[in-house]
Amino acid sequence: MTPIKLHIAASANPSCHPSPHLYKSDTSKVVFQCMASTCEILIDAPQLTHSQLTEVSTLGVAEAWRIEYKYSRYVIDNTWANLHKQHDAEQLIDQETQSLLGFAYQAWQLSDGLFDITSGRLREIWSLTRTRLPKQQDIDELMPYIGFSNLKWLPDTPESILIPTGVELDFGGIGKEYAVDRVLNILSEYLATKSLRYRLLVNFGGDLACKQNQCPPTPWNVGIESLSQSHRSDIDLELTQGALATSGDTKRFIEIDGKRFGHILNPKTGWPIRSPYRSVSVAGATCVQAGMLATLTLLQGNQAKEFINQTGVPYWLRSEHKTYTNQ
Amino acid sequence: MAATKQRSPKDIATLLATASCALTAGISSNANAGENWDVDSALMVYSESDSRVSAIEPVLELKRKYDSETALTTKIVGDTLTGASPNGATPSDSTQTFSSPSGNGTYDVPPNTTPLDDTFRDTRGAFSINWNAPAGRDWAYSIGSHLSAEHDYQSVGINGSLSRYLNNKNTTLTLGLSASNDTINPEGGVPTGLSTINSAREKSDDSKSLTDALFGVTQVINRRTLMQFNYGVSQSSGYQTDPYKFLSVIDVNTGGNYQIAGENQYLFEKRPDSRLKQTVYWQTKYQLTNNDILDLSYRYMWDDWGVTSHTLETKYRFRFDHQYLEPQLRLYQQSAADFYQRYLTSNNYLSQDYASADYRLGDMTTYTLGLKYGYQFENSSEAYGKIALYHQDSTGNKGFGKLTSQDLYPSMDAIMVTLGYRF
Repeated sequence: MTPIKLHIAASANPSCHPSPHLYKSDTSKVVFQCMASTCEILIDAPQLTHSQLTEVSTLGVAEAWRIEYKYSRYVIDNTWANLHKQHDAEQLIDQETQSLLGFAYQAWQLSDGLFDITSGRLREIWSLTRTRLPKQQDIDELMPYIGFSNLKWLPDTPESILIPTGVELDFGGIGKEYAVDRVLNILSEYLATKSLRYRLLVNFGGDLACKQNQCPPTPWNVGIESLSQSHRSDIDLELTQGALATSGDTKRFIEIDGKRFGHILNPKTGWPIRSPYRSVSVAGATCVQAGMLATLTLLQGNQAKEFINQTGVPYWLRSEHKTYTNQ
Repeated sequence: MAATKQRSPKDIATLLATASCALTAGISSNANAGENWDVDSALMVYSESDSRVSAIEPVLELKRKYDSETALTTKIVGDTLTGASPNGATPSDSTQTFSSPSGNGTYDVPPNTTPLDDTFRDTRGAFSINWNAPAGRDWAYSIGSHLSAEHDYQSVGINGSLSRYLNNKNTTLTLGLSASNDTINPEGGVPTGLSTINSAREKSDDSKSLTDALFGVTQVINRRTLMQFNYGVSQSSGYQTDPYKFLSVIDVNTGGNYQIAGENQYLFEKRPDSRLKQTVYWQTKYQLTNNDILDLSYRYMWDDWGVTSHTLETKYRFRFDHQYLEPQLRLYQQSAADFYQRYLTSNNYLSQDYASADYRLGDMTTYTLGLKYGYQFENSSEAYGKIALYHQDSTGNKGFGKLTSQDLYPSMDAIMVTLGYRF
């Protein structure tokens, strides 16, 4: 099938990504790059005209690119950069950033400090290319800058924040899941007004969410990528509504002296979490919820299985040779 | 410090679900709030055959959407009607003279011709506003009001509806109520029903009130089929007579116009001052595998005037990439009101309670053939056009004597052309 190139205005493509591809079919597919992942949007809405399909696809891609650009740490003049230009001074923040901080604050409280939006700087020490263990002294020097409580920000006055020198926000832990939910919401609102029935799935590199208004519903077939072979799934499930997110990407680990360190860092110690588990996939109401539960699960270390089991949500927890699930 | 109290994993999952919903849903409706108005502008031209009524009607609809379920809609309609309309009298083998509605001047109708009142000309303006919004997860409501005015008729009304969603929105129950009050101030005053057309007028205006209730069920049958069923009841009370319509009095001996002192006798029509109408309505929309849409509906109406009607309507929408083509067919059949009479006779004209010769209350069948075409541009604006041909046949008592040689039930054809653009 020959894809159609979607032409997206330069203003909606600030990171200069290549044009998305639209594969038209009963279930049309939009494929594009965003947040270092291959992203796809599947749309099954038979009443859409060609121009509406193009419009809704453009809407979805532009929203994902907007969020990526806004919170990227590698852009000179975006919201993230401007937030970190003024240290030690009160500054006003926009509505969307307030909401994201509010969610991060709740997750930090609920996890007793294990999820921390200020923990990004630990990557300076635990970079994936590292071949030797860092010195404890280097970690100790960085630790005063890690911790949500360093931020002068309160949920009662969410419009203003003070970021002390050396403290950095990292939206990477929720950004992709947030983008999935946003794109899903915007597109389903659009489709609800244009099509008698629709099915929609948004998948950003394995973190996905879906929605439909069809009765009886037709589930999507979703696979979870195998630990040993990338791009091959060894767990297949049916998803009608809701989201699925995976944490503990197998490709992201540090190996030092034959010992593997996961990429999930404990913001309380500054060290990677030691765990027998390599990844967990969690189903949830939203991608943000599923993603956060997956992250919190791996942050529990040896207690991961007990933790996720008690949440009651569907999960697939993998160690090197075994998959634990409540399904 | 971080948490003050350790939560159970189950609580954490629930609280994260709530927080994440607030995170994305909250902003979504903000960011999606339409800053713009949707505009639908159209011009309709209507023309009846034999130089009867023609109308030009510009329509402007402005809709502001706040989210997918919340919208403010306003509609402005202008109407200019010109031409002639049957005045109710029978054609005759001699010239007939009628005074014009205002009482100033007369018009002549040649022999063997349906008497038309050619002083018919009016301009109407109408404005309506409607607000609809959800109320919680399972309810929605709408409220609205309308106002319309022409030189001899004004109408003002309010309406409201409440909907309840059931079975994951697969079923919708709707209750609608509306009330309106109409005032009529005919040219020359309000005539006394069944008085001769030269009688003095009693008063300058009269009024009518209308109350409607509607109960509807909409059901998603399956992924391709949507079905709707409505029951409506409508009660109107007050002045319902058409002050510009007459009945001829026919001489029982000849079948010609009955004359007193050399003058043809015509009476003003008179209708009961209350009417209770009930309707049942069924509609099905079906989407075919090639995405075309078939829309089929049937309406049955009955009232306490003895009128019953059947309406069968079907539309089929062929859908192409940027375009659609929609043929439409509408069939309508109506039985006459109990007091409908094409004419009165010299024997019975003094003993009537109610009488009307208005063809709209007689036995009739009509059909409408239409074709609609729409083109959707890349920016999702749409241009559309529609042409419809209307044909009406009336039947009834053929008369007696020389009246039988007159065409008492002329058929009527009309054409409607609509051009519109929405953006």
